[in-house]
Amino acid sequence: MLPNLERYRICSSEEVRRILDYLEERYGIPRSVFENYTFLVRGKNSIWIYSGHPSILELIPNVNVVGIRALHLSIKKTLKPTTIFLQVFGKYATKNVVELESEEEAVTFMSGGSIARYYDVEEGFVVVKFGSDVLGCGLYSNGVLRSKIPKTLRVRFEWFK
Amino acid sequence: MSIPQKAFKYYERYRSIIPDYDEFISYILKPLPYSIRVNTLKITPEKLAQRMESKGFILRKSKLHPWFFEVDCIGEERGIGATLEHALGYYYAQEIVSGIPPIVLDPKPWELILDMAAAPGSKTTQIAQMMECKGTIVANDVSRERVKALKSNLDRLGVTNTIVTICDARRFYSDMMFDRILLDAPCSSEATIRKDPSLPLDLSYRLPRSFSRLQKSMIERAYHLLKHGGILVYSVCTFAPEECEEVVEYALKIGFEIEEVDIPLKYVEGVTEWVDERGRRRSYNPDVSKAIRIYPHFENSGGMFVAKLRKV
Repeated sequence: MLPNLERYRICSSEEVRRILDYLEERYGIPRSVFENYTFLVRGKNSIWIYSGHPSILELIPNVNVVGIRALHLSIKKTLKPTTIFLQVFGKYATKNVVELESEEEAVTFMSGGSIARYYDVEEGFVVVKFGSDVLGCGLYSNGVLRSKIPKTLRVRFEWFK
Repeated sequence: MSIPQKAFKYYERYRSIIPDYDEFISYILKPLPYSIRVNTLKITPEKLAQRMESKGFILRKSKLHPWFFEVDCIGEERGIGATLEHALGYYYAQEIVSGIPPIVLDPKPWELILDMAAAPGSKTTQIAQMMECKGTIVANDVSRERVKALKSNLDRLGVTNTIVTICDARRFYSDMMFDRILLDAPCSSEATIRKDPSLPLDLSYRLPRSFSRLQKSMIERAYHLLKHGGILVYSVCTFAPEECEEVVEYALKIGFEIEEVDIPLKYVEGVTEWVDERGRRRSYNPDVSKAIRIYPHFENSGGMFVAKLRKV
């Protein structure tokens, strides 16, 4: 009857298995963390995570957004976790985590800048932390850590002068 | 007419219902103190307070609830939103009185909640905290533009249990019923003048009357979306009885019962009788006195009207 959930599709169990494999293999995030969550696909390349009742999704009209965007397929067809996803679940990561060393580096990263330094992680998308704060997603390659913090969540350098 | 003169003239119609009216008037043009709500989905109030204080902010616990603090930004011209902690979603800059409706709603984990006019999301995110992101919040708003702000706040605070919908709440249909509904209704916003001194104040008082009609149709829709025994919290940031007690009286007519509200801030009961600017005497169902009114001079805050209704 009502045009609901046109944009979203609940992931099949095979898709969920692949998502959980990826999060466990690349970041060491245990599968048990996601026991009470539903993964959904929206469009061709984005995966969303939702902790509400999955059964009601079909009953609500005019759905615009469900939960938060968790992962998307990058241009090179590799999965990339979003910063907002890592700010919630990155605390469980044990692999491919970059720890920044100073507040200045944290501000550089959070304002969208890059940090040239060797980190003992695999190339690709990494979890970036400063102390106990999970800052978000970075892209590490050729000894440079690039910030993937979306513009809406960035800080401005002048705040910290 | 200067802004203060106009404001004084505008609020004059409430002289007979606002206690200590002269003190009220002295408060309405004072700037509002900064306040925040800690996002307990990401950090504890103690840890956040410690971090903010180490950066030179001065935090005072609010009487309302342990998640709320009033903040002094001494020597901090950049304001309360320009910090790493804000970017990481550790707090939400929220007026203290805006925290009252979710507290009265009292949502529980695993329930099904509808926030009928949700954007920009201060109350939605507070409800999510109260539910620990378990259960579902349908966060609706009519404005696509305002929904952008709502989504960005849900992202920043890491709220995972919302379904955002864009729809005129008067035409919100669903195949399921909700345990609790928050209707923080669009209103003339008269009680937000401290936050927005340029608030347009129309001395013909057309706005309160036209919002009253909209609010009544929204409350009627809420009735049909609520389970039997379910709770509706109706709130508005205005002093106009047309948008407050008159709407609650309408709710009582269509099948709601009103319940007592108690919060740890100073408030007064809903008004049951008043005389408007044209000298017309208005009286309402005596039960509307169970609703509460908070005035700016009580706690150095904004103003708010809140009623707790149960579908019977």
